[in-house]
Amino acid sequence: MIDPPRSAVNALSIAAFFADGHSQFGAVADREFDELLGDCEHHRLLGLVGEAVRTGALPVTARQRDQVEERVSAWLAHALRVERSVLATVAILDSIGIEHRILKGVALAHLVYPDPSRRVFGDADILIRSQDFARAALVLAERLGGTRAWPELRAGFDTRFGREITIRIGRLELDLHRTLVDGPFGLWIALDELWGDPQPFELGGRRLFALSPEAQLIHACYAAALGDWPPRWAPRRDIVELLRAGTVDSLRVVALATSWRGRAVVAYALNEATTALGTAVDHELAVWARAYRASPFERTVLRSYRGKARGYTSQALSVLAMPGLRDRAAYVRAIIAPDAAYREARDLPAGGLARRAWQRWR
Amino acid sequence: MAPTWQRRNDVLWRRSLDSVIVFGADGGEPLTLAGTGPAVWALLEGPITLAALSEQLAERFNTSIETVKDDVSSLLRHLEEAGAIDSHPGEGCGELITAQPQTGR
Repeated sequence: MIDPPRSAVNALSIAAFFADGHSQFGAVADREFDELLGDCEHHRLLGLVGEAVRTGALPVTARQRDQVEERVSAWLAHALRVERSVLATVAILDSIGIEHRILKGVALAHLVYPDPSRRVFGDADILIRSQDFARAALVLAERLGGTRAWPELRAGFDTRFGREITIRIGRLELDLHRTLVDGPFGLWIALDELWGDPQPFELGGRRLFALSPEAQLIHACYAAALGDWPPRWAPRRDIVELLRAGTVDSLRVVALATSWRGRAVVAYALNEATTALGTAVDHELAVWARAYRASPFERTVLRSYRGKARGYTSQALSVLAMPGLRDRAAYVRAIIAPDAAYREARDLPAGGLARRAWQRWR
Repeated sequence: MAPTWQRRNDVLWRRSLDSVIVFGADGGEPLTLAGTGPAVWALLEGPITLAALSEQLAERFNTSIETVKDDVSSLLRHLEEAGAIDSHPGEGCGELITAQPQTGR
């Protein structure tokens, strides 16, 4: 019998594990193994590490196995706490008649991964309509015994321009989203279109709803291309899992991405995910993504989401996404002159976010 | 007349390497089931009596029913307190009423 080829182990190879056929890794010395676990924890890939060890694809010593068991169990226990908080949140929202959709890790773990244990996550993400956004945050913080992580930038900003409100409940974070990302790409999303054709799933005996499979894929692309910097691998694995799930209508993805002016983001993320993980490269969306040529303007906006001042540069370009002068003026006023409570909480200099951005930029 | 035990449909759980993490609906903290715990959890997918559970575990781990029965009974109580499982009264046929759970073995 011939042994299967053994590949080097790193966060990328773990991210690709089982994505396309079977992987067989080589053994890793203890020191490198510690680094591997650290990397995989950062990239939210510990669930896949657990699967690799459990199936024997990643050979480990007894010490290494104990390490994996301990870390994976801790993340899985955290995932369950997050899911319990989602159920409590949904019960409250239902009781006050506020519609909701479950986003990201909690939904993806149950909808597109073959086993939810493969997808770990750190917090709960729930979409709320703009008109309910502020009230939902207020009621949830009160009933769940939580507090807002940060005060509102300026009165009315959240409902008009905000992406999310984070509520801290003990060690847990609940992120209420109005849109999917900060900056122009978040503002270009036609928010009503996020609510169409929701995909149901069951959690703790309850029927919950995620976005449509197409909106889930676009959201995963936004998370992969515009989210953490440097990017984490988990959102790219999410993209591949969504493509493999076979529930995504490719034409609808392109239509939604076009409507939201996000085709360059989707194409970039699809390219990165399928090429790096070496899977789903023949999917029609991957083929479309390879052929897509972003315009100079799209490339400029994409670049604003990178680098150490990205939080500020992408926010600054938001002005471009606003149709009216009145919106632009209100937005700029909030950035330059946030409310005192916000400035204090963020320890901002006079001149608000604009001055902080300049300091970072230099 | 022996009661049957089964996972509650509102329980949350995950499979780790050699353990199962279970979070019942009654609050508290997630429980980690190690050792024979994951095997017990698998058997609790469908309704099963303590006697049938003990019998299957004894056979699987090659030990006597008496040896496992006390441990299993204690674990069942613990899981019930955590809101992870519940029991239903027997329906008059004693041990014969036990359903065959899907263990995945």
